[in-house]
Amino acid sequence: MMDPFYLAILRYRQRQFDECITLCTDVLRKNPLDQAAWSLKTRALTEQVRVDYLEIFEDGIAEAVFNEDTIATAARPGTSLRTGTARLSASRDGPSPAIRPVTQSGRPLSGVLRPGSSASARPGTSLDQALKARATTARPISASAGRHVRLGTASMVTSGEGPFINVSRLNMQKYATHDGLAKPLFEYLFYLENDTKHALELATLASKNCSPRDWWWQVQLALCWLRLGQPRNAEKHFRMALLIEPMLITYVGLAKVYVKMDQPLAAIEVCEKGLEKFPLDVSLLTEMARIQEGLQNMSISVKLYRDILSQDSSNIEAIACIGMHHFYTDQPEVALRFYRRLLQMGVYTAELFVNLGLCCFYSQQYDMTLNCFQRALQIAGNDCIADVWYNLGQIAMGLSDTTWASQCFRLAISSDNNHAEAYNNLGVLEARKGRNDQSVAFFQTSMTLAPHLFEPLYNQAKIADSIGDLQNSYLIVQRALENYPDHADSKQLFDKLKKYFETM
Amino acid sequence: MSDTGSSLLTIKLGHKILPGRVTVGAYDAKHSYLTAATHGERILLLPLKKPTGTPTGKTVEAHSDDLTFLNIDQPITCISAGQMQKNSDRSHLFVGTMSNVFGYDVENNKDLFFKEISDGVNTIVTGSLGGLESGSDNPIAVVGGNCTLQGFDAEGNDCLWTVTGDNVGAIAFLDFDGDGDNEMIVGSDDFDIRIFKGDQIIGETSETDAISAIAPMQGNVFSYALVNGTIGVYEKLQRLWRIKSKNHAVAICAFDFDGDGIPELVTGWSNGKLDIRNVRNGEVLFKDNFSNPLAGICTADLQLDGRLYLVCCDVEGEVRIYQPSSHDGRILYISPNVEQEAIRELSVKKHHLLLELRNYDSSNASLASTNTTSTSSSATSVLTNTSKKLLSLKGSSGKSETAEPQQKPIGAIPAKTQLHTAFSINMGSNDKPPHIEITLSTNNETVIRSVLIFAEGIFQGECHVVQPKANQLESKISVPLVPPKNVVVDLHIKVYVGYEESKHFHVFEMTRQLPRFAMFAVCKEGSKTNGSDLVCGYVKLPIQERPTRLCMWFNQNFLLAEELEHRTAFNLSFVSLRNSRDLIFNVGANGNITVKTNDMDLAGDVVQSICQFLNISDLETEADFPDEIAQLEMLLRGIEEYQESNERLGADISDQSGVIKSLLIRAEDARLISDIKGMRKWYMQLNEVNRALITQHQIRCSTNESVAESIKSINQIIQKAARLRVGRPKANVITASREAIRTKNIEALTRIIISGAS
Repeated sequence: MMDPFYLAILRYRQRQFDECITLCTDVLRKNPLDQAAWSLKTRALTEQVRVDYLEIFEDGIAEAVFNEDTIATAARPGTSLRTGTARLSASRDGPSPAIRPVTQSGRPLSGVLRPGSSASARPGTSLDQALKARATTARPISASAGRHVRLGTASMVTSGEGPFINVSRLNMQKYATHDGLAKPLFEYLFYLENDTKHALELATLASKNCSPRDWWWQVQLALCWLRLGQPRNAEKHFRMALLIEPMLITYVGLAKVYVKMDQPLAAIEVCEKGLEKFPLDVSLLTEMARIQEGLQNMSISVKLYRDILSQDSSNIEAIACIGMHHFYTDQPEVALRFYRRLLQMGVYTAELFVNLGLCCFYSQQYDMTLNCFQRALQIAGNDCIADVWYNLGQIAMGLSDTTWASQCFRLAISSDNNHAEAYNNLGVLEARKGRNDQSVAFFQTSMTLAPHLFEPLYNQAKIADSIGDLQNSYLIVQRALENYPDHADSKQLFDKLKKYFETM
Repeated sequence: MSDTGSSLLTIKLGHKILPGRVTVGAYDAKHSYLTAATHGERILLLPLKKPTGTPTGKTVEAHSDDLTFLNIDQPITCISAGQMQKNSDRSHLFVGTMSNVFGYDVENNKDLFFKEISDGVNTIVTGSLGGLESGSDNPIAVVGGNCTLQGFDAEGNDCLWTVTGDNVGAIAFLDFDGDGDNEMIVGSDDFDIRIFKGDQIIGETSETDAISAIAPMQGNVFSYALVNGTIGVYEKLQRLWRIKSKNHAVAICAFDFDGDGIPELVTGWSNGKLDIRNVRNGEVLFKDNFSNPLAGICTADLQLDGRLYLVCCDVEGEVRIYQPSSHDGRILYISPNVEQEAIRELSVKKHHLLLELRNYDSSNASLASTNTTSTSSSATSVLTNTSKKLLSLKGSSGKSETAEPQQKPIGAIPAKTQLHTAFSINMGSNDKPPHIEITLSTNNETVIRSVLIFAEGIFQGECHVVQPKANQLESKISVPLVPPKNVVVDLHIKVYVGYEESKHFHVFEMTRQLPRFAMFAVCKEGSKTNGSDLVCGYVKLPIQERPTRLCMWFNQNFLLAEELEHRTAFNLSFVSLRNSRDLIFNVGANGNITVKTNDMDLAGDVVQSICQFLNISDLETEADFPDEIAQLEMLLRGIEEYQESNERLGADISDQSGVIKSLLIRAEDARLISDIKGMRKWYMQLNEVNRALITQHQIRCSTNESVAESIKSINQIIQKAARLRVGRPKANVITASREAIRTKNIEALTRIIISGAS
């Protein structure tokens, strides 16, 4: 018969963690002091729930609203990810907000939805606004409050007799002296228990005990501080780790720290330093491409994504971002190729079909358009069905079928009653029919839901102007210009009203 | 020229400015930005532009669009702007807080470096500095903390570390020795100004209070300001002038106001006064008044054409910009003063002459009444406020008139009157601690009405007046002196001598020097005090020098009853008047000296003094001070413990502040959906967590304080250990100690203190 512990190791390697845990539990029942089995069980439990912490690192509403780490409140455009919602055309590289929509944080819409790409709050927004303008209503507030909740409870219950490790009774000093036990225990505390405080304590003790100094502990210390919301401390430990041994995770972590402190240029500098040690590394290039996209340096960002593709030709994020760039720069045919590549790779989501449908429509392959949307509607879940209807509404507008369009937008709103863009478009349709009161109501709803959009503001100003409510029009168009200073129509309206008031 | 004498432009910022935390930097290499720390732990930036087309003296409100703010989120202790890259005109901003310092690239919103400095940052200066290993062409930022000076280059690498006697109050870079490279002038809270070349001290001078600011003027001239309200100017280590005010000088700055190529000293006072003085003589050239205390003074190049403007801010955020006057402006605004000055001087002269005349009259009258014919004797009668110099030690006044004593003319004293001064050591009595006495006595029946002693650093306020009661006048008077530090003190003494009933007195003026180690009384040989066996600290100086020279040193630096004669080998023991501890010298036949004392500081003073006397530039010594070493060990262990608990507390605090944030979000969310019950619940929880957080913060504050205190003591011990050596070995001790502290190697540190190397 095979040694049960050897079998457990085998199962761990095969990533069959449940079996591994059961086997380890048996071994431990016979000999509760078996360190090897204990350590393996700890690792198996951790692996079940482990996620790349740096990849999912995101500021919750709390962190974003009570942000204390940013130095500059009004940094020069192009040096900050938080300020400068819409840059002036002179310094902007890529399509204007009139073409490519912006997210609530004022950044252009990205090709993929990832943590941070739809950051809900921008500086200056009050807590009220941030809470009201939450992108998805389905998400519970606790999930976005910036605290990490314990995820692994379910797996613990299966082990029967309460939690495997009782954190409050751990003798950290004892474990810290033994590297083989300390490291699995740390990961268990960090990833499974989400008990950052104790994890930090263990890491501090262990990093002091080990000699020669270990970069791994320094990185873990930095991760703990990052999770505790202290980027300055994290920076210190990342830097120390770099001195001991330059590692990829350290560079990526340091870049995240600088992004959190809103110093994108420093983050890019770190990535460049990392690229000297690890040339053409995909994770560093991805980090840089994301930051450049946030800084609205579209051509640099796309170039970096292309570099990624030459290393890793099936990188979904790179393909999607390049595809979106082409779509919004009037090359739907090229975008179509990238989206088809995604489809070939086996990505089968409603979002992708919507994008394919839109690309087909704008590249005049009308036969495929509706098929794509049908497929999208079939597979769309609750979280994106509203967007599918909204985009279908756009197609209907393109076909001048206003009744159909209005139905689509109403369906979009019924799926997600916070869909600001749909409200705006409904307003436009109502205005076309001459129902000004109705349309103004729609615009106002849209405006309160998404204060970052300039379209409802301009539309409302336009209507106010047409019915002779010049004072209101003047005030509202100013707000539109705040959101998008280069909008030609808004400017024209503003100049006209200004001149009018001056002559009076 | 109508534009002289008033400000070019006044800007109201509408934000308060913290005093002393104002600077100007060209962050984009194009515009000068006024940079000032304001309330709410923020830094305010305002681009300074020269007004075009507006009449001078205009007041404008700062446009809120022009103002930008930087959040620091910690109390700002100092700010500074300077160029850190060799081939770029861009400035970087350096900010010091209670626990860290960071360099920041304002233009690119990017950190240069961020360093923790656990004992706080008092001052930051940027510039290039000579005498460093990294070369003098790379600019560095020097941070003055608690006894330490740390230098960082543009990447945040450590390029300088040294210790000084106390909290660093001010730093300035200037070419002190004229070799083309800058030296560092450091003023600290122990009243000393030291000049560092690299990590070596090349000059030292003592002031009368903690130094709050130093500003380079031109060449090797620099100005300084003290906490007690004194400002002054040094050329090298020679003081040119100083003045004292009851207000405190908040900021000093060099600025060529009259356009003659020589900078003037601009001083901003805590009462809102601004004055510009001549560097050479302190003469006031220009004055202005702010309605609030000044916060900072800077010079700025508004048009980037090389013409500097003076920018002054007060604490309420009023900024005034002055432009230098053109070349002929000087005469114009001086002229009204010249006239007034002349009139004032003449009237003072007239007043004096009238007084003198009245004196002659009264003397004549009294002479006439006693029927003597000598009129010349009245010439010796002088007013108390005119000075007649009689150096008592040199002998008589040299006048040969025969003023007979029995005549006793008013104000006149015998021509042969001499004043004797003598230093002696008084071992004290029950109600008096031991002290040095200066005894002043006349050689005849004249009495001393009053004694004025002026000496730096001995008396509070630098001056001491003894005026016995009118019925207790004697011809001999003793003044106790207790110099707190072992330095040479010049006593300027003025003595009023006359007769008991006289109204006018002779003034004897003299200068006596108090030896450096005056506060040590010699013990009789053989009769050792019982405490001498307890002296376990010592320092051995291996100097090959004839004992004769050492005898000379003893004679010069101690108050000895009789001079030491030449001997080959001898022992000498002294006892301190301050704490009655022993100081024992063993001089060997080969000139090696062993200094035994428990006071490391004192041993350092002795070593420095001997080496200075014998012109020794490098000396390695052997020393042991068990008390200090034990204390050092204790402090280092204490710090380690503190740091551990501090880290844990820090983690707790950040953990809880995270909880607070999420609770607040939940509470607000509940409020928005009108769930008042839920909101109440969340806020209750918030309150509890908040209270716990405050308690923890208080604990952390107090541990932080004790850590800072310990670090300061450690630095002071290192500084004392370094002072036991001279020249290169001295600097070596400091670098080796730093390495030992960094690696927490207490044994190595002990070895360094004993043998000078690890």
